Amino acid sequence: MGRKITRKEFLKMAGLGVFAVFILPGLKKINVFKKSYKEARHYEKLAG
Amino acid sequence: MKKVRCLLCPRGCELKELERGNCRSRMNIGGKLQTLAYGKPCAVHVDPIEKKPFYHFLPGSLSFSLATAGCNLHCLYCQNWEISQSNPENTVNMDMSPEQVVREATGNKCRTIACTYSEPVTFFEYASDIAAVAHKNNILNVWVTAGYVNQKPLEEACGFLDAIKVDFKGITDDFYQNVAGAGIGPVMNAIKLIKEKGVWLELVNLVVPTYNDTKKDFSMMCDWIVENLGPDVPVHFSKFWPTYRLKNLPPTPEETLISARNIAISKGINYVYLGNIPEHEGNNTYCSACKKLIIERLGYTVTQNNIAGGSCKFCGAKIPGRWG
Repeated sequence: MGRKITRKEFLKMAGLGVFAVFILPGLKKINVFKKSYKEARHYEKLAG
Repeated sequence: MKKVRCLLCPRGCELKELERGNCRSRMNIGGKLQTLAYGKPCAVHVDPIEKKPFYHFLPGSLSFSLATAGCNLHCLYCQNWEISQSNPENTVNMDMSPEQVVREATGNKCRTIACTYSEPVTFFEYASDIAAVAHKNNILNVWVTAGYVNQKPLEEACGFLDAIKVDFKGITDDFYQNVAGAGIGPVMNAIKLIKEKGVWLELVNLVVPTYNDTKKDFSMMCDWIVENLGPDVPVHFSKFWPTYRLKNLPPTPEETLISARNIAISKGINYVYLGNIPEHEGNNTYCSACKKLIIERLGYTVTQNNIAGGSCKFCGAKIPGRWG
């Protein structure tokens, strides 16, 4: 039978899982978002 | 980071850094107001122009129609709520530069490009850039809009648009506040400005049972139209179908729509149409002078056209609109 997973391997896989499930979708949204925006015309900057 | 105030529509959203406007498609990023959906349409179709509906503008032609997500109104009966009430990053979008839009329109033999389905005011910059390229390629530009927009951007839009269809949803401020979540005043001002600027204008009133379907509603609306716009702006009364947040209501009875049309004609409006009643005379255009049938329609298809050089073939009376 295979050996036991080490603590280091477990943490690495858990980290990859967290990245894939929670962080990657957010990054993807920001990327999509960045390509889509352009400065609007009818607005004003406010003081303060 | 500095706050910004959007000046596109009467909401005048004041936005802190990374705050999004009411329309969902504008955001303060780095102290500048950014439009979030530029070049990212979520709906693209080739439609007959009659579907917008435009009945007095290039009849029988095709219109390259598109929209991005977002809207500055929140109508309870919105048929396109899945895109109008969404953030642009949450819809499935295409990448289409203004140049690509015009190429597609040309390739599909469309005479117009229509910004429609959601609310073109909210993708103003994209619509404006599309119009600039379109005109260089002899393609005209039309908007289908609720008209909830400030005067200055609307004046700019009237400079690049060839026709505008406004959803004139009701005649009371109560109706607008309850159903659309905004006041009627800016919409009335917008309609008057479009007429004044000479952009071709058609109006649609979606008749919603129990909300805006009384004879008094129709009378008041038609009186306002005749007084402020004259008798030659085409008016379409359209049938409501249960959807979005008004699924509890029945569809508009045909008798109600026919009554609306009769009231409009009695008030002196020359061109009154009914949407979604097949094979009714309300689908057709009649000469206001000799009363003969000049354009016959079956659904969105023009089956007969008796207009020549912008005039009635039978009596020569000029028919308002753009015919070629």
